[in-house]
Amino acid sequence: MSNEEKKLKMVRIYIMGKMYEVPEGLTIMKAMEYAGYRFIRGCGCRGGFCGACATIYRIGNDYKLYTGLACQTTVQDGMYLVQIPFVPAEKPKYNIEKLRPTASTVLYIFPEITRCVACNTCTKSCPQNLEVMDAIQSLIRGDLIKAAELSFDCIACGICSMRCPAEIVHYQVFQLVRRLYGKYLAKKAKHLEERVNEILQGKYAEELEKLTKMSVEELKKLYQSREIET
Amino acid sequence: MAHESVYPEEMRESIEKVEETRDRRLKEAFRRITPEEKDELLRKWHPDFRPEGKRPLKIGPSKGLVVPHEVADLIEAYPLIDPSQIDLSRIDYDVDILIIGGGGAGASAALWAHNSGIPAERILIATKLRFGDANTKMAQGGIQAADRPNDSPILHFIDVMGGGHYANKPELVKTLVENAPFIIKWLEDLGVMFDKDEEGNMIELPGGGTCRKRLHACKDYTGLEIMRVLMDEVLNRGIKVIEFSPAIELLTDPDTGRVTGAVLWNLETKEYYIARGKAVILTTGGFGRLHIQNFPTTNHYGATMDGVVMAYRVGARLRDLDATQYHPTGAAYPEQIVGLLVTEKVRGLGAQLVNVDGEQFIYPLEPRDVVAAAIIRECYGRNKGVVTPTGMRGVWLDTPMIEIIHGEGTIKKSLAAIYRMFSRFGIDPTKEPILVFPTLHYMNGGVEINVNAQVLNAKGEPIPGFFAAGEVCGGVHGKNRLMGNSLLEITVFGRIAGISAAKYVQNVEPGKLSLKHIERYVEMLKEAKIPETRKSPMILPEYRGEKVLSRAISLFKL
Amino acid sequence: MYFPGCTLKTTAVNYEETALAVASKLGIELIELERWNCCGVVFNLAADSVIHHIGAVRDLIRAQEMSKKVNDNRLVTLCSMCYNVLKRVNELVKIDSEKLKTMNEFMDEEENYECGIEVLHFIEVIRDLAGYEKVKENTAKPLGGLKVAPFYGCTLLRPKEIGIDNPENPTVLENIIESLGAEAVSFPYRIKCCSAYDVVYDKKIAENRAKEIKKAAIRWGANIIATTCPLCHYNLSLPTRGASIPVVYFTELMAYAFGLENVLNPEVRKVISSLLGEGVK
Repeated sequence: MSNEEKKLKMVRIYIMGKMYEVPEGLTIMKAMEYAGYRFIRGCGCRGGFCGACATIYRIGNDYKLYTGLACQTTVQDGMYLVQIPFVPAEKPKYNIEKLRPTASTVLYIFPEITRCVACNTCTKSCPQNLEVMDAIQSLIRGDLIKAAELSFDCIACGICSMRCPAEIVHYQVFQLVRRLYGKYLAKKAKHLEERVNEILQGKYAEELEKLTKMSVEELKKLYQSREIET
Repeated sequence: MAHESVYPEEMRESIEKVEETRDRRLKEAFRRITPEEKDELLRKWHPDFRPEGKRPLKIGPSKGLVVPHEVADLIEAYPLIDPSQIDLSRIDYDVDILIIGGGGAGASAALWAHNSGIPAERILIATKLRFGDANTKMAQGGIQAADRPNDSPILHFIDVMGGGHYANKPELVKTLVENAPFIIKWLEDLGVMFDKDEEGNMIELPGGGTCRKRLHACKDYTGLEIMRVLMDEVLNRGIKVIEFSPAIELLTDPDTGRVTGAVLWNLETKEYYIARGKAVILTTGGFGRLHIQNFPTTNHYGATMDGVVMAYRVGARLRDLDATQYHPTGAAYPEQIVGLLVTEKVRGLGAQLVNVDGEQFIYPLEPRDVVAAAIIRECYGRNKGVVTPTGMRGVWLDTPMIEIIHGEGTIKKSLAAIYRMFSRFGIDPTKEPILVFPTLHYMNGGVEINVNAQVLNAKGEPIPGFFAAGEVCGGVHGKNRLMGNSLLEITVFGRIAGISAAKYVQNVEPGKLSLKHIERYVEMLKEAKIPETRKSPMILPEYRGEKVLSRAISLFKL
Repeated sequence: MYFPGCTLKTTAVNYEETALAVASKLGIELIELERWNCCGVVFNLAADSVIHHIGAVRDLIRAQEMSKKVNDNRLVTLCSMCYNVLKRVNELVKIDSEKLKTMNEFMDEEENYECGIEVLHFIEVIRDLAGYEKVKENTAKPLGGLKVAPFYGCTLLRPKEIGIDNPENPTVLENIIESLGAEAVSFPYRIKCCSAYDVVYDKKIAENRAKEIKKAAIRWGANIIATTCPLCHYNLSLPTRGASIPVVYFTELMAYAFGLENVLNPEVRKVISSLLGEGVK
């Protein structure tokens, strides 16, 4: 039985104050499309990875503000919602080659981090359930590694930054932290460097050239007889 | 089961069977498929092989090429613009390198054009949505490179050719595998946080169809991590990106056919801009939002194959567009996330595919087309699939096995994205299996390029000034892409396109702009009696109203 | 339980290392809070600016959570500024239950703070829990020859409601110094403000103040100054021409006296041993 054949149960939602009846069980994103909106802003991967569809809402008369991704949040009756399609924050430019991997580098580029009052609003707003405040606090106390780990799953939706009373732009801070960690603090893979050098010296050039000229039959034989690592 | 499950009762009965067989299955390895069985399986059950699903192109440089209907409908279609209404004399953006598409390939091309000496202000990226809104961000499981002592580019080459059914362009495969370790090193130096052990060695996992463990990952956010680092670096260099400005047509020199720019359209202000580039690099990605054969998709909102359409109109040759990759494991329950990607890494970590009776039916790490066909056969041929309340069918991916094999906490750490995706809807993959079914994932074919990322015409010659990289291209993966090679393709060929284009512009002047190729194309369309109501590129899919409700997959109706 | 504070993890790492080593020698177990955040730096005097104390109350909640596991409700700090903030916030919410209610409701993701934590400075722990006798017992190398000017700074002693000693005439540091076998130089500027955060806006003010304090210590015969707070340490260590005297943390003296050389910063170790007339170790 397809959905059209089933009688759809409807709920009422308010998109920027306007009431629409939409089928129960839809995500906010699909509900807005069902209501007739065609997304230009506010829609990206539709799968919870890109942070384009950050949405803030209340339910009925409940004073609490909720946040979520429109593509991953199911509508509820009485939902009163708006999307945040853009967070006003120009990214500061830096040359990663010239930076030192310390927390003080990050504090120099983003001095407003020290305004953090540990109110935890950022953590409460995060649709990925990250410990955002703890990540910022780790930076204040010099722990770049912890900040990189805690912020890794950040999708840069920006809700934390919009709600932060200290006006920190968390996702820009975390991007710098993670790059500093990945480039300077994480150990380099030696085997990788060795292989790159081997290739530069042409170790595989001849054999690869031969392979490009092989017939399908010869390739099939190689493919079917290759040993698979377990 | 000890805890509260949100799965409906009918599905829970099946889960109980999965739990009963689990201990036995942990020691079981389903045998690998023979080449003959593989051929039959694909022919009978892979959606690519349904003749009703496709037709030969009627016009253009690849006339006669068989492609899915949804693809042909866009290629055999009229342009959105009326050339007489476009004022080409007023140029809004005038650069050396114009990059169309702001995903991983576009960002890589921009960075390497810059590294090759093109000043930042002479490079422009025009993108349809936000910078970085691309399939790149959604890639989860990993990027391949043969960098361990027991592995080599030779083996990588053989894997790619075999997985692609030997239909790949060999020299493109050589370029891919030879450049792979360098690309990983480049990304490492940019600051990408690859999973590493305490000594700094890369932690590498197996993928479908790979004979060695060579998938480098960043938890299961590999694409997101790579994309955001590339984006950060592009912006640091001061390279300009204009967002919400898709290209809707390319521009050509009326005499030489050289590609010289593009018409961009501001989605928000509805104005068009003329962008001229000494070289144009096409990095527009895939076609998931065409919902080929009505499948749901893993792709991002803007994946509507605009680039192929525009490239075809300037004479680009297409290949392998009859090969659509259906990722075997798209989420199949709950309804809200149907079609979303469940990374192959889940199978790489040991989870098995299991039918309604709790039994395996295919080795989980066969190449993707094989696994996809096997799942479809299990659900629609053997009727051993699990049926959800919406009529969607699927099989179980037994994720709790991962916790048993690798230790408690593995999923939360290494598959954080999957954990999040399902727990948002009340399902805990560490305790219960998840339901999966194939989903439209990747455009194996596309615009044909050579090893210098130059786009080729019908005769196989490079079209001057025109380069392409990434999913929009065909030939690298043959008829079936292996996991981890798309993140590799975009960076390898994105880099090559950037370097090639930078070299090209040293010796040329800005070109003349015209829409002559459009006028010729329209004539061809009229001659072939294509209905004028069909227009392309699509730009964005139409989901308003009832269209957004879940489509049932109308396949293999019994 | 032990609350480090941000500076103890960055620019005052040696203060923490020596303190933990000394505590262990004295039989005091200091367990760092598993999770903590910045205390807020200064106690906010604006009566209605509740949000600036959220950080401190949150730390008290962390201590409350951990107290159930370690069966102890005492929270010890090393940094005098952190001590001042945490202690005053604790006293505030004990009296002003309405403010506490507001804060508890705001922090709805945490358990309510129930005012059961006791905030102590490490010096109090040494004086009241270990005792001067124990300090003497553990002194393997008496610091005879060292004339130590104790510098209390202000946040440790003022306001007097939370001060750990008489705000005009404290003696606890002198007692510790003497228990270590050194001579205590009670110079009059030992309770003067080091100029705290003025150093950020106008370094000259801090330099002038530091010069005054150091000159006084030298005039009264001291050859080393012992501090209790990372900010005092920073300000007093500013280069001042015409007044040169080494500045250390009191725990560094204790560590040296206890024979715990390996936790000392090599520079500090050199300074102390040369003052003692010993060869460089």
